[in-house]
Parts: sequence; C-alpha cells; structure tokens
Amino acid sequence: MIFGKGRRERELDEEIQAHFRLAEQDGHSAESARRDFGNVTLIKETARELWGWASIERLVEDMRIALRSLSRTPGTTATMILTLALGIGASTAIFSIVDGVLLRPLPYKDPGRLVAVWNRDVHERGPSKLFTPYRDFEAFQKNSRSFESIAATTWGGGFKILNRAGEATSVLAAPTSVNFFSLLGVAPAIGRTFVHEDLNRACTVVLAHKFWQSVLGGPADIAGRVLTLDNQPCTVAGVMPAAFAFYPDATSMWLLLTPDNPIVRQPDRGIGTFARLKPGVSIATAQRELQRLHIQVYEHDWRGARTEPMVYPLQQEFVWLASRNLRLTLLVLFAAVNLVLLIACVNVASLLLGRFVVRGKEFAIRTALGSGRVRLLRLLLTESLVLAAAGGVIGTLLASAALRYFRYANPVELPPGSTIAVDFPVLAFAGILALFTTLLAGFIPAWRASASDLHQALKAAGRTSSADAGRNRVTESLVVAEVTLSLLLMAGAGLMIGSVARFGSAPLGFSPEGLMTIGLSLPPSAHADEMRKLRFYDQAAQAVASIPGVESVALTASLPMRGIQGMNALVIDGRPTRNSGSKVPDVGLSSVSPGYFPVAGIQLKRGRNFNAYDRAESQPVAIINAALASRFFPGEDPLGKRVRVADAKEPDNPWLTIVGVVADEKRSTLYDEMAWVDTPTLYWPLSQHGFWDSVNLIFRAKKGQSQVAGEIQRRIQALDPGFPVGKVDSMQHILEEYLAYPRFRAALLASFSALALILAVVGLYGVLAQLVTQRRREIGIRMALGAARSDVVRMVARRGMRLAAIGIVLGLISVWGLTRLLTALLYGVSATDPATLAFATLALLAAAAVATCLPARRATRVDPMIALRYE
Amino acid sequence: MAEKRIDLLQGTLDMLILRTLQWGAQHGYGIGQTIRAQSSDVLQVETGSLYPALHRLEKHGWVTSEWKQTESNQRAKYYKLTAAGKKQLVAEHARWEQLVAAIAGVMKP
Repeated sequence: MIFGKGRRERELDEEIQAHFRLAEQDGHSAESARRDFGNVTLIKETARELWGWASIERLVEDMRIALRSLSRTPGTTATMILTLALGIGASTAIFSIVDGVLLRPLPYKDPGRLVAVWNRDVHERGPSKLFTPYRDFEAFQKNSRSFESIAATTWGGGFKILNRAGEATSVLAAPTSVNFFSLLGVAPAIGRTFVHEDLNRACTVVLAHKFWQSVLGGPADIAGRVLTLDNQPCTVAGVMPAAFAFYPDATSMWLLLTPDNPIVRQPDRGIGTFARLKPGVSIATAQRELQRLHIQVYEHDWRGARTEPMVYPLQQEFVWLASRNLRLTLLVLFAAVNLVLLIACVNVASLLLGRFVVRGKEFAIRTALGSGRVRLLRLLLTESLVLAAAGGVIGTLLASAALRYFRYANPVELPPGSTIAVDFPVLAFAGILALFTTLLAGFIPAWRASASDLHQALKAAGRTSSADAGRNRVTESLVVAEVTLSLLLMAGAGLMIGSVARFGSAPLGFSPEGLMTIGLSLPPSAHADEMRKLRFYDQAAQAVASIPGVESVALTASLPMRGIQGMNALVIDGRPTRNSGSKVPDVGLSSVSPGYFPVAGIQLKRGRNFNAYDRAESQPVAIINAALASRFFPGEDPLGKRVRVADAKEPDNPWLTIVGVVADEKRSTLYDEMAWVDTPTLYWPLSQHGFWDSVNLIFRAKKGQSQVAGEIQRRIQALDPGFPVGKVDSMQHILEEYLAYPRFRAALLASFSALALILAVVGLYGVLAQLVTQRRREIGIRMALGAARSDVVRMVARRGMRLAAIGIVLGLISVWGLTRLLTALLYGVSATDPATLAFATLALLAAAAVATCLPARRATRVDPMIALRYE
Repeated sequence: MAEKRIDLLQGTLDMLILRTLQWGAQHGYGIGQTIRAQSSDVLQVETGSLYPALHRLEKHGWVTSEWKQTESNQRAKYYKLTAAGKKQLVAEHARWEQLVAAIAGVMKP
C-alpha cells in the first residue's frame, strides 16, 4: 500500500515532467508550458484523492495528533493502556483455553463425524454415562447402518504389569479393537497399527509416543520387538506419533482386543464405543438405530430395559471425560473475564470523556478552524484506537505469560490432544477485542464531542456550569454499570470460594491427616488363586508394619474419597426378593482388613469390627455403613440381619450376617467433580473376599512420608521382584488433588472480581474528583456563605454513595438471575446465598466509601477566595 | 481566439479522451493536442482536468498505461484503450447523441 503510493506519486511527477518536455519540443517556452499547465499541486492532490492515498495520509495525520495529545497526559494514558491491557490480556488468556478445549476440532481425520456411544441408566435422574456392554458393541458393529465404522477401546481395568530387565512397572494398556486407529484416521509414526491377522496372534500392542520415548528410550527398531505384559509376550506393531492423543492421557499402549480377552469372553462387561457417522446421518437417527439394536441384543435380559445407548459428539465427550464441569467452568470464566473487559472499557471511556471535558476548548478551536465534526469524531476514535492497539499488544504479551504459567501449574485436566497456545485464532480474537474496545471506549466520548455546542464550549472552556449535567449523567451511569458488574463478579467469586471452603472442610468420615497409602497390584496370571493373593497382601502388610516408625497398617480394596469399585444389588433375608426390574445396583462393595476402620479413623457406630477370627472358613460376615443402614433398615436394628449380594453370574452368593455399622466415608462421584456422596457400602472381611487383583495398603507413621516411602517400596519389592511397586501417597495429597481444580477456578474468578472492584473504585473516584473540580466555584460560594465543611463532605459523599447504591441494587437483581447458572459448580451454598451477597455488598460499599472519601476531603480544602477568583 | 473556447461539459472530457485513444495509444500531451486540433482549437483541454481524468479512466479500467519512447526519443506515459473502455465509449457516444438530439429538439422549434 505504502509502496504502491510511492510508485504512483513518482509516476505522476514523471508524467508531468514529460508533458513539459513535449510542450517545449512543440515550440512552447518552458515558462508558458508551466503557466498553461495550471496548479501542479492541485493536480497531484486530485490524483491522490482519486487513488485513495489521502485517507491513509489523513489517518497517519490523525495518529500523529492522537499520539501527541496522549503523550501530553502520560499518567492518564498509562492508566488507560494498563486497564485495557489487563482486560484484553485476561480475556485473551481465557479465550485461548476456550479455543483449545471447546472450539478447535479434534486432531483426527474429519473429526466432526466422530461420536462416542454411552449407555445411559434409565433410572438415573442425573447424568449417566456407562460403557456399553461388549455384546452391544459386537451387534452395533455387525448390524448398524448409520456408521462408517465402529471401534472400541477401554481404560477400565487396563493396567498390566510390564516386566523389563527384572523390574516390574504398572502400565495402562488399553484393550482396543482392530479398527480403532483407522476410525480416527491417524497413521503410526513407526511400524503399523493393528491388522486383522493380529487377531490370530496372542498379543499385539501399539505404543504411545511418550511411553516409547520415556520408558523404552525411543529405539527406532521397536517394531516387531516383544514386551512382556503380565508374563505374556506381546509383539510391538508400531508407535503412534507424538501428536496423537486419546483419552486417557496416561495410556502407555493400546492392546489388541483378541477373542480370548476377558471382555470378549464375558461380553456383558463394558467397553468404550466410538464411531464415525456416515455422511449425512444425524446423531438422532444413529441413536435410534442403536437403541433398537440394544433391545434386540438384551431381549430376554433385565439389563436390556435398564440402560439405553446414547450417541454424543466425540469432542464434547472428551471435554466431559477430562472434567465434568470443564465446559461450564470455561464458559463462566469466559463470561466473567469479558465482564472485566467491559468494566475496563467503561473506565477508559469515562477517562476519555474526562479528558474531553478538559479539552473542550481545544475541540472548539479545532472546529472553529474548520475541522469537520466527522474529523473530530475520527480524531477521538483514533485516540482510542491507539490506546486499544497498545493495550492489545501488552495484553497479548500478558496473556502468553499467563498461559505459560497455566501450562506449568497444570491445575486442570484438559481433554487429550488439546493444545493451549497463543496462535492465530487467539491473536485474531485479541485483535477483535482491541477493535471492540476502541469502539466501546471511544464511541461515547466521540459522540458527546461531536454533539457539543461550539459557542458554549468556547465561552465556558475550563469553567463548567449546570449545562454539563448531561455529560455527568453519562459518566455516572457508566460508574453505576461498573458497580453492578463488580457486584455480580464478586458474588460469583464469593460463591465459588464458599463452595471450595465447604468442599475442602467437609467432614470426610475418616481422618486424612497423616494417613498414607500405597497401591499393591498383582498380575492375575501370577496369582490366580485367592489364597495366594491373600498371603501376598498379608505379607506386604506385615513387611510394612515391621518398619520402624510405622505405627499401624491396614488393607482396603477401595480408598476413601475414591469412587467405589463394584456396584451391586442387595437381597435382604426375610424380605421378598425384589423383581428383576428393581435390581438396582446401588450398593458399593469393598473388602477391608480388620485394622481398616481404626487406622483410617472411621467411627464404628454399632456392633463389632472385623477380627482375626473372621476367616475363610468361619461364618460369612459383613459390616455396613450408615448410608446403607438408613436406606435398607430405616428404624430397624441391622445387626444380625442377613443379606446377600445379588449377582447374575453367581446366584449362590452366601448369606452374610451384619456384625457392625460404621460411619460413612465420603466418596467422589463420577458425574460431578465437586461433590461428596455417601455411597451405601457393604464391607467384606478381606480374609473372606480377597479376590481383588489390587488393594490399597494404608498406614500411619511417626516419621514423614519421605522417610518411610523408600523403605516401604524396598520391603514390598523384596517379597516378589515380579510385582510392580506403586508410589507412596498421602491422603492429604489426594484430597488436595480433588480440591486443586475447584480452587483454581475460584482463585481465577476471585482475581477477576478483585480486578473489577479496583476498576470500579477507580471509576467512581474519577467521577467524584471530576465533580469536585467542576463545582469548585459552587463549593467556594457555599463555603463563603457559611456552609460547614461537613455539609460539603455530605454533598460529595451523597453523590458517590448514591451511585454505589444504585449499582449495588441493580447488581443484586442480576445476581438473582445469573448466579443460578453456577449451581453445578457450587457445593453447600445456594446460588443466592445471603451471607455471600451481604459480604459482597459490604465490600463494595466500603470500597465506594474510600473512593468517595478522597474527593470529599479535597472539596473541603477548597479555599473560597481562590475558587471565586479562579474564574 | 480565446472567445471561441468552450468549457467542456462534465463527463464529456472522458468521452473525448476515449475517442482520441480509439486511433491508437497516446500520451497525455498528445491527447490534449489531438482534441484541440480536431476541434479546430475550439476545445482547449485544461491539463488540470486532463491528468486527473486519465487517472480516473485508468482506475475504472477503461484505459491502461505504459511508459514508452516517443518518435523524438522522449520517455512518456502512453494510454491505451481497453475492451471495457471501447464498450464505455460506445455507451457514452450513444448517450451523447441522445443528448444532442434532445437539446436540438428544444432549441429548434
């Protein structure tokens, strides 16, 4: 553009010179030729106008004027740029997460047609997403017409033990169908993915890039090599590229689902089903077809009517899998951060307006000298454009710094394959924001300026009268809007903080302080028989207990706070067997060693604990928790009652006599990352139900975790070097992990609302300070006529507090409507919690009082004589 | 001679330039001279209007320009009629004839 301009202008010059030469040749004198030619400058001007150069030149000119006038007030300019930079930076940072997680297509071929199929429990009122039974998956694959291909993979129970160079590690080897990789359309980096011939081989795996690199050391000739998983040789077919990711991120490898896999042999077990819709087939159509097929498969089975397949877009499900409320969280944060930006714009607009009041005379002179109204408007818009551009650049830098920290701190689990970076869409967004802020912050002052009365401005420049009431009304309503938005943000942040505090301090039913845990897992092949498993668990517990400094040790199949393993239906002796339709699998099951309840600190409410006399050959017993007791034995004494765990595969489960009732230990739930539930739970003595392939050892030690951890790992390793040794973790740390994401969310929202509060206070202060300056003369007259200082203070204070009060009232009304959207992110507080609202109101009032105080004090210092003489 | 000069009607200059270029590419000075000669010195093209008009025509795509040597070995910017320019000339000529006929109708009772 600039280059084109230069060329054309030079050409025009040359063309004019050529004209003179030709005219001279024709016998005209150079002088007459020039005279005849006319006004060269005018011709150039006209041509310039014609080719559109002028508008650029005028823009450059406007920019120059804008820069000049902005640099005349460096303090205000810096404030405005910083305000915009914070607003744009925060918005851009959040947007890049929104973009990476919610907007950017998944890194697969034609990802728009990829779907996930979940089984929904029809009795569940809330969300319910279960794996589909393998039986369904087979039927879908064979009979459905809605899909190009259907593949399966699962991460449930996919842990295998990798034996390498005499060392055992636990790896996640996700059982996967042959067509899984071709469904996603991603080629391997090394070797190949699964082919049908592999089904005849015993064991084939495809490695994840990270595992290949970090565990195996990235050998290039990996394809065809053999890894030992659960003592079974597995051939490596290939390695996926580094950029490939699927849920869950921890997957080390994908294991081909062969006909002898337990899932295939027990096809009522669930598996994750993923598919690609044929072009033009809607999700609803596909879902109807799958539901029809599901009913056919489970025609004579009660389970058929209990669940139904549901089809969802894969991207949405990845977000859901990563974190239940991630989508809502991101939307709430995005809305909040844009409110902050809005407040920032309002502040800049009111600062620009304030400058305009001061610059009234300048504008009047410009108008008098022939600047058109349009030109004035352009000048003001250019000024805000310069501000927004500077704010945008600094804001983008801030955003990329914030994102670097975000990636480093890693407080939120993100969907697989999502990259968070300041890239083109994000930069475009920042640019749009800058333009948007330009218009928003520049429009109001520009509009006021262009509508201003020339004569009055010239006459009253510097002095202000009641005619400015209109201008003040604009600024004042901006301040009211700021207070409203701040209250809204503060209420939201307050609710989040309250929720996290309640969530973090909720009684958990056990004492996590000082409680530590380590996982013990066994390869099923190595310990097929239950007695040997039990012996190993026992030996491990004894080995740990004998370490000096370890006080107490116990074993449990499921840790407190974690979701519970199996869910089964319960049959109660002496009550009619419930019909098949109501065999609700509503009881969680766990096996614990006698020491579990005392070591974990779970209170025994009634009856007795398990003890050494509860053995495989003694009477089968059970302990239930309070939730189970109140659900199945309301108003009854459950002790001595007999119950049976209903299981379709094993109808002859023995009757268990209830010998004790314990307090509920809080558990997390799959469907809500910020909730504790009291799952009705039945505990078996581990000695009577020790079939678990992995259990958790819990212990308390006098010494710190780091001191005993190594010794524990060594002693367990010594029992059998073929078993993987887990890491020692503390229950406190596990709790912290549960709290990290809600805390991060609350902290972010709190910092946004703090920013909003500061901006609102600055805005209010600005308006009042302006008021005092404008009405100095009036104040002077009042004081000269005998008004007390307190009267003056009251006058200013009344104005300020009235604005704050209106803003707060409007804010409370919008809180009523808007925080309800947050309900899913709250724990233990209602969306209109009165205490939170009261606190936000008081905090705002206090801040408003500070903002009012300073200008009010300044007003009292007005010297009547000086004020009157000043004009 | 001066009294014989007539100011061109708005828009007529464009038509005259296009018409002049119909006989071949020409530079700005040449166009001015041609119009003057063809009108027996009655139509004097102001250079102040000529060059902006040429640029306007170029912007519309009716003429293209090219630097060439004149017969006297001077460098000059030659303008050439484009296909669109020819079409425009036909259209303007037709409109001009309509205008002349209409004015004639009014002036000759």
